[in-house]
Amino acid sequence: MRFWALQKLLGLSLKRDASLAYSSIFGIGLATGSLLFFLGLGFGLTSFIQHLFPVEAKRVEVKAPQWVVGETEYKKLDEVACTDFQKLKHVRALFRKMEVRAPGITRVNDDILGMRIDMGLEVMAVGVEPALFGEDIEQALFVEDEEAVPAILSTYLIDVYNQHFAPKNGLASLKGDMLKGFGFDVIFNRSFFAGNTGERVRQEFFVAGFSPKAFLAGISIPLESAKRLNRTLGREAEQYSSVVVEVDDSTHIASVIQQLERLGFKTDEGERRFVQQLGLATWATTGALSLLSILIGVLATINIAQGLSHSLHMREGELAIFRAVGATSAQLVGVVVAQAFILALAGGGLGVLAAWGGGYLLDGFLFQALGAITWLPKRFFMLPVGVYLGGVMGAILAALLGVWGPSRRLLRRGIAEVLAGR
Amino acid sequence: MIFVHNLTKIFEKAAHAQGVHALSIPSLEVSLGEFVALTGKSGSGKTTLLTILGGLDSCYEGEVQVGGEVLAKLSSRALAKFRAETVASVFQSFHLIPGWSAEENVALPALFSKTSRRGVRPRALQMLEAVGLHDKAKSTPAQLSGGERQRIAIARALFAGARLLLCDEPTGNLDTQTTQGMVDLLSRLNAEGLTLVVATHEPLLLSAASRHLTLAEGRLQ
Repeated sequence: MRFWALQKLLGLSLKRDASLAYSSIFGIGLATGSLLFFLGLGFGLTSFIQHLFPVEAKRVEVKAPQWVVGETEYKKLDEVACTDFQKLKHVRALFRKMEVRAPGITRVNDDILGMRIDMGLEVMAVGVEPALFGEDIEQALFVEDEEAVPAILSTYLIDVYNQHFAPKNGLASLKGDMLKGFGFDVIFNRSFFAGNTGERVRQEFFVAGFSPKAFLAGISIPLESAKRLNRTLGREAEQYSSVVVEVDDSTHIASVIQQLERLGFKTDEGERRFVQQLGLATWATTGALSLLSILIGVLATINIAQGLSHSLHMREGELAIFRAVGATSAQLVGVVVAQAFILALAGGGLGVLAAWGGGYLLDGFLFQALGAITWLPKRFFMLPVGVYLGGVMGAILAALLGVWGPSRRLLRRGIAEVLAGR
Repeated sequence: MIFVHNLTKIFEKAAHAQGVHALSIPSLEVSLGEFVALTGKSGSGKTTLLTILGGLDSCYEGEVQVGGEVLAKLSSRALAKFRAETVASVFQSFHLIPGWSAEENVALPALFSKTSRRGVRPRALQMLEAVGLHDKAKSTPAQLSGGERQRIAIARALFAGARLLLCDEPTGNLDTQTTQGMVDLLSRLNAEGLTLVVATHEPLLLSAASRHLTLAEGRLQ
């Protein structure tokens, strides 16, 4: 059959069965659209959770001190332990962390961005290896400097300030960049709660950047700065507070945890588990909605199949005439399949548009409702192009499966039998 | 053109019930260019014979040869080709596609052949001209009279250049004047070399035919 002939037959058929065509397109569109929408929501929320709780599946944190049952001494989380960790199978990198083991306070009494700020704050500092922040910060700025130590603040601190502190105190909202470079002094061995804990040591700091991976309840500083401060303050400066162990592949994380436990160390999986559970909960919810969409899809497919099958039965006489003038069964199956393909393509396209539009509206609504929070994702609805294409392909496949059987069955009937109305 | 040997057709009934003998023809031959009129009461097997000769019914026993082809031996695809090129059937109830114009109905066989698009319209108009309906090319079946519809059906049958035309009661739904026109048309086509087998009771058609065959209870008299 020539292409022009197929085009003509399809055109005439679709024109005559326009209402069936529209309802089929709507059904396919509804199924595809809802499936893609819920998938997009699932992808988006999972990505958001990972962004919000940046615990990577490839990392596990070893905490110190670690008491071992039966031993009088606890395992030291020092360079010796780190050397042992490095030798473990599947371990790719280590990121050491060391708290500054003395309390500290800062006092701000200055005009900042046109606002008079006069307040005192308890400051906790944690030294971390710069590589842990990756591209979140300017690595060149994050190096030990005795004059002024760079400090990385948690992105969420800005939000807490903007959402709660600033409105209550009539202060202006802040953006991260505004604070970059802002300097402040911290007096160590001094606490508003514990008083003096030793000889006071003053250290100047400056804000070097923001990261969601930064210490939430204080400042993150270079590891070398923390070591130096601890030495200066007469505190333990050899043992780490924790060590983040990165494995070569997330599938090896359990094996590495087992190896760490054999060495006598325990890992802090609380946050990891929480994020995993949150991710699972998100996927369970969106998965259930996706299953509902699949159910809608199955029902739509049955509806499409029944609709097209009904249409085929209505056209049984016409198809018999086609066969009487020389059409082969293969040609007619081709026409029916091509018609289903067109309907599915149109329905799938409609579904893609509906899902994309729904996601766009959802994003708009959520961003408006949640306001200016810096840690919000760029989009709540995220769907890779491949999934959109997959949705359309699925719709086409469902429609083709729906018409293949009925058309073959129908064309098995004798022409004379059909034309005689038997 | 047509050779039939020991043709038997039985309509199957429900399980355990005996089938009905619709046809039982020991021998039949129709030569090229003949105009054969097939008569018989309703239910005598005229339509059944035509559908078998036209390759529309393959459930029979015996040998049926049309245009040199043994129909029982043809594959589904070859049988479709046979229906497209060798034989054309005109049915009592026309079997036109509603909603399609006369021109589209006439050109229907072209949709399933390897004909190029360019030649289709001129050929359809030529066929409409041949049946005297060139001015009705854009009319749909609903806008045409019974006689006109029958002529459209004949034009469609002639479109692919078949050598054998099988007509089932072509004047069954027509008035006297239109019937005469149909008889003239079929006579002219026969004179141009087309072999005709026509099932009819119409005296005008019977008088135009070169041979009469009568069927009674599926048997030739």
